[in-house]
Amino acid sequence: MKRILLVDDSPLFYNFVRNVLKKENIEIEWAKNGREALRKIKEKKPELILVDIILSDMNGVELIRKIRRDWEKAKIIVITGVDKDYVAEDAFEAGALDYLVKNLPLGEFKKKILKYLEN
Amino acid sequence: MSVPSEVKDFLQKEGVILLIRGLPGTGKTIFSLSLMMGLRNAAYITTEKVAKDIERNYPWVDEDAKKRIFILDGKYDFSPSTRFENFLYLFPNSIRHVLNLVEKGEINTIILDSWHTILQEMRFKEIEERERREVYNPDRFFLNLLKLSDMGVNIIICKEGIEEDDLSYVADGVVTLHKKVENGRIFRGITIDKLRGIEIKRAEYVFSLKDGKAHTLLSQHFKHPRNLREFPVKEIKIGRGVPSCVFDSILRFKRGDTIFYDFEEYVSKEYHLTVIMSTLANFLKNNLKSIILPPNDMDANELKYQIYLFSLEKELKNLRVLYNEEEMEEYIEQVNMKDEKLLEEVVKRGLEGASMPLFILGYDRLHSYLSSHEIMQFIDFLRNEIRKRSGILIISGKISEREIKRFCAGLSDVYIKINNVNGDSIMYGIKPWTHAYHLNLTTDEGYPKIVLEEIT
Repeated sequence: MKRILLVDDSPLFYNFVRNVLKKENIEIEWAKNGREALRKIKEKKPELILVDIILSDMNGVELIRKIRRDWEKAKIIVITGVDKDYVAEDAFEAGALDYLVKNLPLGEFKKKILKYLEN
Repeated sequence: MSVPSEVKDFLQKEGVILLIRGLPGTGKTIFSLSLMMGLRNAAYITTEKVAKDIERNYPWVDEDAKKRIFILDGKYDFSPSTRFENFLYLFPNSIRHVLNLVEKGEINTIILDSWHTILQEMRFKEIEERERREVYNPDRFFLNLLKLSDMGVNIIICKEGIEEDDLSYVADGVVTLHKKVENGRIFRGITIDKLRGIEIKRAEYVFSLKDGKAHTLLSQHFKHPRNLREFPVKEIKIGRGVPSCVFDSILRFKRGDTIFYDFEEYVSKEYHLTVIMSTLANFLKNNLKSIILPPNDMDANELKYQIYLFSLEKELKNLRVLYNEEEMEEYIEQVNMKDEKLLEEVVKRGLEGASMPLFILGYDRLHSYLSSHEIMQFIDFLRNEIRKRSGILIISGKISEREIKRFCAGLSDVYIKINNVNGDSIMYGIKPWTHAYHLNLTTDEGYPKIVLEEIT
């Protein structure tokens, strides 16, 4: 079973991701903030990490940098409501593979996640 | 920048005539002195009176530049010229001397300040008839200058008045300096009327004569910071006044104050948001409770972006936004029901237990759901609640309903107007009275920051 870590402080979005991916045989781990995420990555070694930009203890770009420093090969995708090119550039520079905005159609969101899990 | 980049580029050419015109007091002398200082190979020809005035009033004109100021009628040495030949003798002594310097390659631009005073001096000079005909005849002098520019020398002429005449038709470039007085503040501008062979990117600039120097001001567009840095905290202490983090050099807020930022509709969103977000960021970083009913410029995504820009992730526990993605619909439903008491309840609950809260009210958002009368009632309620808690209320938004604006202006303790003047953002305080300032938004320090420059 593949494992995803979602880093987002919104329980609504966690439920959304769980519902979207429940038939795909994927385990969803949830971290509400950056510190919790770093701990869970170490413990659970997820195949894919979904990171929001606004977290309660650090911003998403900062978190990506921290993850990259310790786990060079981690697959990280940003999934956020901040629809700004500049932030996306920051995220890519920090090492994100993709930048998804939360208003992405459901089917497309699912397709992208599965693609990154397979590759 | 002291002069617009288009004018600088224009003066890099050879043999051009630039006319600087304007009514008295618009800053022609300061502008042309700034040009001389910037060009480094320009000579300044003027009358004795203006030269003394420069000596007295413009200490920033350095010794090197002073050596390049010549009095039209002064006594200067000159020697015969191979480049200008007999043409040299068709000018007064001062220009003959300067033309010798042109020949040596030390000078390539002659600035004449000002056209009328120079011509007056020529008319009343006591000289023999032949010299009057050939050298001191204003029409002849004008034609000689044209020929000089044909020979590759740049000529800059400062002229009183703004009417179109032979000079403005013949000149390759014309800039007009002007000023207007609004509510007791002077606003200055430069209009670029023509600059042959140069692409005019912008035809009008805001202009300031602060400290007797010419400054051309340009409000920059927002640039995302290269590296985000923490917004610096200014400590909020009891009895010291509350920093606005934008206008601190001009004014401070007192606890209990209602501040009205009167934004004109056309002021760019980035300036609007930076002005209110700077105060909010400082409150949050001081661990004080803040509530925001965002103005129309700030939707949920924009708010998140601002939180990212000001590095406020760690301070979100103190921020209550009267909408977020989920709450927004619920909130709109509440106000749609016209039950403003419910809105007041939400505010009261939000302010509970806060000793010194900050409330930012984007009144333009309410305008879509409440009548003007209801908005005014709500603002009055807010002001009283904030006063009770010795906090700060900031009212801001971009709608032009006069009734609401007048109400807020009357009710506020601090009233600041922020206008868009040809793409530039200009502010001045009505309560308390302040000079006019030009606003510039920079992110060079890693976070959005407004830089103020006084316009005098």
